[in-house]
Amino acid sequence: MYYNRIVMHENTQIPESVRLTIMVATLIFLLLGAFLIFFLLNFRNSRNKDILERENLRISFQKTLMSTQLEIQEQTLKNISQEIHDNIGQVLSLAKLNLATTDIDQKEAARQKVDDSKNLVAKAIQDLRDLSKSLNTDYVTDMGLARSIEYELEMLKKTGSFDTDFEIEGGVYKLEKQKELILFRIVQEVLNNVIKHAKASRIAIKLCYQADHFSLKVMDNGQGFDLNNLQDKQNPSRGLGIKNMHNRASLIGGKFSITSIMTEGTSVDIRLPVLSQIM
Amino acid sequence: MPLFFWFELGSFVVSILCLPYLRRSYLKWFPIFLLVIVIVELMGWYLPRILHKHNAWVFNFSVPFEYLFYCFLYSQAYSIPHFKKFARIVGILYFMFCLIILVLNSITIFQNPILTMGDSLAIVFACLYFYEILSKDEIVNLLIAPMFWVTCGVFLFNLGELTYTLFRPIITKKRWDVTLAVFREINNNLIFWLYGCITIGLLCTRILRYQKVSG
Repeated sequence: MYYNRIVMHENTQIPESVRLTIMVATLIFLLLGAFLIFFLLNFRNSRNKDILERENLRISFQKTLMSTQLEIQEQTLKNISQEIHDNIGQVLSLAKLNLATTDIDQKEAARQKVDDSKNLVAKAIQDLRDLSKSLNTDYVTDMGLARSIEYELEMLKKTGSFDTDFEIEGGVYKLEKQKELILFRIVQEVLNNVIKHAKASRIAIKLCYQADHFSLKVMDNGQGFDLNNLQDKQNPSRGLGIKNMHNRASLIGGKFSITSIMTEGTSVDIRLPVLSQIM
Repeated sequence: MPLFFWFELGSFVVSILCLPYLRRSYLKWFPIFLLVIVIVELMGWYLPRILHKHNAWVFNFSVPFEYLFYCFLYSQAYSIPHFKKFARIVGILYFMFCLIILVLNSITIFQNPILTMGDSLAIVFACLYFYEILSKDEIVNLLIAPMFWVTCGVFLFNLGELTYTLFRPIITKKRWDVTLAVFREINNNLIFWLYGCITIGLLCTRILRYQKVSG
């Protein structure tokens, strides 16, 4: 705006060289300013992209977390249904059979059958208690990762099909709730794979709590497998579970690795930096 | 009337048309600001040409008004509390500075320090605004942000003007450019940029409103 100033009656003119200097200086200033604005726009654009990527990553993390929670619930329900059918149901049926075939006239034999039935009912009660623990969907969070994994191994040992070994190195600390949940789900998936495919007789899990990192190792003495065979173009679903576990570990900033030797067994490693996450 | 006057008038008309979209923001003061600018421009044109009188006193009042408006605008636009406080304090200090300069000197002669100080402050305000939007940890679409356009206009206008006002003491001493021909050449061209940017900024409020309404 402004400066249509009153015209003064003097003929003093600005020298051309001075006029040029002022004009060039102004132009340089303006170019620098325009460059600054251009830089600002570019920087803001790349920052916007970063923020969008971070937001997408956060959403995908939340989605994976939710699906993990659902999978854990599903797995728990499957275990419970199997446990009720194979164990508690059998024990209670046996107790019922015992009581049904009790002849009260033969006092000694009847007492023996009642005692047996009492023991069977007591076992069923204990099994139900174990199951009720699993019914609590927050048990991973409540018990902590180490105890939850140990409990899974105990359940496997109870089946009588596996020898299990559980080892903890270093002082146990809590990881973030979501990280523990995802790690537990990976362990569950590894154990399921061992049960289904490995033909193993021994499963060992080692947790290592270090100041700067946390690592988890699941080992079995099964038949092993060829990792190259996982990339089967004709069967794209092959190796999907491992890819899934790998993605989940990446999502929580962990490194997932798997080594397998034919006839000797398989080992799954997960390593996670902790730094400030120790609580 | 020179072409840049119609540009200023156009900007004022746009601000009136955009008033429904400006109502809820601090940009609602733009129509009043632009009205003052248009009136000042008219007075500045008529006084010497029709009434044959000095017009410097008009600008001695309009320049402080303009930069005090920027102080107010940025004190509202900043989201960082320290910057808000800075703009308010600087506004008070600038007002006192203008008052002292005008009391101690003649009103009928244009007071260059008021303009130089105003230019410098506007550049500082613009830089702080740029810093603020650079450091924001949220998605910001600058091309539809009204205040970004206003700041671009204010920044380059004052940057261009500052070059001349910095040279001004030498030019005055040597009695070069007594008719302010060079100054007018720079200033009149920068006016297109400043009011062009303000107009785009005001129009952006319509886009933002449309985006809000359409979800």
